[in-house]
Amino acid sequence: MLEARETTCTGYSIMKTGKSAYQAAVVFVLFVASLFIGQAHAESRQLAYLVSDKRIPFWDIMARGIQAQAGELGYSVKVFSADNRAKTELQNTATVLKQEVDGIILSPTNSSAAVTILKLAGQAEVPVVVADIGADTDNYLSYIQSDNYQGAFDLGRILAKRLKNKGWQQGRVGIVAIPQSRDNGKARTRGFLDALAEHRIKVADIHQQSDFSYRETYDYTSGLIARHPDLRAVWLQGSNRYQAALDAINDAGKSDEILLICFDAEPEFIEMIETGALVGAGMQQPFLMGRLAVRSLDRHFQGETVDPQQQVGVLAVSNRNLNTLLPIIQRNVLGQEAAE
Amino acid sequence: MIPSQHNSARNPPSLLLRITIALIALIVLVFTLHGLYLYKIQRAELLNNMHQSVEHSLQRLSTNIGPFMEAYAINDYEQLVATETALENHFAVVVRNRKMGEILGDEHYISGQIITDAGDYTGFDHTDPQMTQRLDQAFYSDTLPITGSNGDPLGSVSVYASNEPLLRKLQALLIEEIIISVLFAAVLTFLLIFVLRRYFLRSIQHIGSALKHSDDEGIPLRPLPRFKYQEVQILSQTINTMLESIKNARAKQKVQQLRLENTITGTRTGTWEWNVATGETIFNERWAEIVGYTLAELEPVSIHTWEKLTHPEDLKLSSEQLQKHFQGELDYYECEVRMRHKQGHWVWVIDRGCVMTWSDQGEPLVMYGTHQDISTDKEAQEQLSMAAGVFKYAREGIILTSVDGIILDANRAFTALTGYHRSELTGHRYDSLIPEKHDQAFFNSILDSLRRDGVWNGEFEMPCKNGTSFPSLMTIAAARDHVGRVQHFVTLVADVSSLKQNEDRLRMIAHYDGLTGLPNRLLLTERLRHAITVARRNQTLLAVVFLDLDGFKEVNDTYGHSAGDELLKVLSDRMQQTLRDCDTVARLGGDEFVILLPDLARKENCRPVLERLLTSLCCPVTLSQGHAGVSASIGVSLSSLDKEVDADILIRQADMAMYQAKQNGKNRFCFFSKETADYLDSASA
Repeated sequence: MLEARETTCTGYSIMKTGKSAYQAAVVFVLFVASLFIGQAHAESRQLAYLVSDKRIPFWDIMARGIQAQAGELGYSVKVFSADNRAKTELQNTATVLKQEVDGIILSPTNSSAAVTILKLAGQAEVPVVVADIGADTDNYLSYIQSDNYQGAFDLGRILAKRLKNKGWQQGRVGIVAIPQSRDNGKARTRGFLDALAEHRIKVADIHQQSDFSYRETYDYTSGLIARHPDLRAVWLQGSNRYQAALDAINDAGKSDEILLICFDAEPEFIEMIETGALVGAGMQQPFLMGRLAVRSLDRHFQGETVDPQQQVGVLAVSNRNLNTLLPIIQRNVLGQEAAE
Repeated sequence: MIPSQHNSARNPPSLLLRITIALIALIVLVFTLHGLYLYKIQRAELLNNMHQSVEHSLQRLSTNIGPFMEAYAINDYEQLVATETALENHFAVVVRNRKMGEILGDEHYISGQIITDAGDYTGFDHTDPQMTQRLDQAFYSDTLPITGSNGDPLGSVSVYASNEPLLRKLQALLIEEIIISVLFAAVLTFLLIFVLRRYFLRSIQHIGSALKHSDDEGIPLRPLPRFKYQEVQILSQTINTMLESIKNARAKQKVQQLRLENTITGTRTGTWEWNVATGETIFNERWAEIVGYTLAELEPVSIHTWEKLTHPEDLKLSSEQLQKHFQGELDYYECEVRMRHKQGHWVWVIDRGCVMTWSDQGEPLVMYGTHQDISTDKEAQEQLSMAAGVFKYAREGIILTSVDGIILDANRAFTALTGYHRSELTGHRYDSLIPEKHDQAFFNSILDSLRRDGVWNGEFEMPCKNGTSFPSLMTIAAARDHVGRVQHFVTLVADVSSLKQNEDRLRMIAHYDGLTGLPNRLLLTERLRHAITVARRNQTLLAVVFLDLDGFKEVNDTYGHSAGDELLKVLSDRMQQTLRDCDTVARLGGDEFVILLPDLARKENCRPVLERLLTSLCCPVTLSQGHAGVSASIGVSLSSLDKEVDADILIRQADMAMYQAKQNGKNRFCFFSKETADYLDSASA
């Protein structure tokens, strides 16, 4: 359940493309340089991070990323957690607006609640950067989100290669998906299916989670195994119920015949990938997203144009690139650098 | 009237056009009224819908927003509001959130949706004065409170409705109604016109075509054809029946008009028509002709034309009669007037007329009448008047009888002559007065004369009431009319009793002996000639007896001439008594007598008569002065059966035979013979 993220300071495009370390180093140098330049402008700026629930590791890691970047740029930042309560979230909004903050980073309880917050901020002429979750409106400065399609597509490729390596490319892949009403669910499914189609790997049934319970995931996985004897892999679009899927595979006595691959990350995934219990995982980078949110505000303050839609790459991690990406995972996904 | 007909025929209005216009007007009116009615209904319905929509929205929103308010899901209920606003097309929906207001430090957190000028919806910002002002322009609004699940007031929701959608809908409805109405009106008009043309106007056109061929007076020449549809068929048959009736009536009217014209012409009647109010007057040609003019010569005619030509005295009388007629005292106006003829003389005219048109106030308007030339009648009346004077005062009796012989009238002189009262004569047959002694030949001769000559003159023994009669000189004349037909007979009876007595007396003097009363020589000669003719016709013998008394001179000498005259009277009576009725005895003079004995079969048949004569004459006669005795010598001559004998010869022969009887000793008779003649010749030698 714990969404421990480790973030490393690097551009998401570099991660997405997996270019050389040289290129990453150049970008990093430029980024650090920019921090020194912007610090002088941010001395009197006060930022607020309205987060739905800071008790959730993902948001906490993102808060750390925000705080880290704000500190680097000279902004003071206060984090207001709504503890997943709408009233508190609105009270926090009213509070920060009364305090006349210069910018808000918003990770709303839901995209609908974001609308009201954005509306109030807009009336107060306070710029808002939405970090993940999204908003049912577009009157924000920028919206930063994970590139779900790219992450899922990369995961599909990893799984396809593994199946080919095992000579199981004729087998089917079952999918236990998050609700497809969400944009991120749709993007993940589309990216993964595109990758499988690229390798002509057939898909078994797709089951959509509703209550995100252990039993739900277990039953869906068992059903897939039962209905599809040629099932060779199960893809979980969420990470929190990976154990239920593993238990179902094991209980079916097919731990050596069916692979498991997940989106999102859990701290134990690093070991599971290393041991082969998990083929791979698509890991979001909250720490990096927090930092990017602050930087977006800073660019706005500097009078620069800010891309209203910003996507942060999802790290498609397998045992083959785990070691290479581990520093980035620890910093940007698990936020371990900031915690230290 | 004819010009107006001509004008109306020149530009006759089209029935189809009229009907089409009327139909279009009617349909447009109906659809307009229907559209207005629908518009009103729809408007009320739209208003009601609007109110219901507002009410329903309020109910839904107040119910659904509460939980979102409690959950501080502001955007969620704002989405709800936006959806509801857009769906129901509200002007604005404003939500007042007390809990959110508390968070923001205000009484309420106000949000909602409001429509823009462009028709889009935008979020409501109560801090924007323009939006607040715009909200005030809402046509209708209502508000419901929003309460929490525990009943706590959470705020309120207000729904505003604009009349713009209403107006747009109404405008759209109006346009739709107009389009539908126009389309329906056009289709309906087309269909109605089509139906009218096909089933009604076509029939009328056929009727019109059939009726178009008409005579000079506009009466159709041909009957209408048979039609398919019952109603038109009835109309057609009715028109045909009417046409037939009109034709018959016209024929009858023509006959009557012809009769009237013929009557007017035949009776030579002048006619006039007088508009009493205006004085305008119309005369026919005969009216003018009566007074010697042509109508053209009298133009321009008016009532003054009549007044100018009428005798002033009669004009006054006419005016009085007219006034009586106008005032209702006379059913008809009638007056005999004199009118000045063109040639200067007066013409008697009987003027008759009657007011045929009266005003509502009882004033005469139009009067019609006639003129009849009664000059001839007037003259006849005058003549009749004169005749009546003659009839009344004439000394001769006058009887008027009909052609059938019925006595029509008798004048005073006739009744005085006959002793009959007038009433006993009139009505009775004329021949009832005729004595039975007149035979039929007498009447036939009268009738023949009347038929031939128109008049009969003759003597007639007129009977009297007391059984007597008197001789009259009667003249019967047939009175004829102008065409010669006998109308009646006029009988003029003149009493000629005195004349007749004088005539008898003169005839006695001329034909009879004054002493004895026997026919004299003149009458004897007439009767002898007549007897000769009859004897020859009947092949009988006529005996002529010459008688001379023997010894008469002695009586005269003895007793004087008076005694001789007395003797002659006695002997004359004895001779008449001795002879037959058909025999004639005449005195030639002195003591000479001639007796005619007609109708003798033989010579010897006269001997007995001759002997009786000798016997009766020789018997003594007692005279006033004494007794006297004479005898007679008789000579007889006889007519011939073979040849015509002169009367004088027969008398001379009888005279000669008498002489021979004298010679032979007297008191005897002697027949003339050849020897007698020879004897006398020798004796005279």
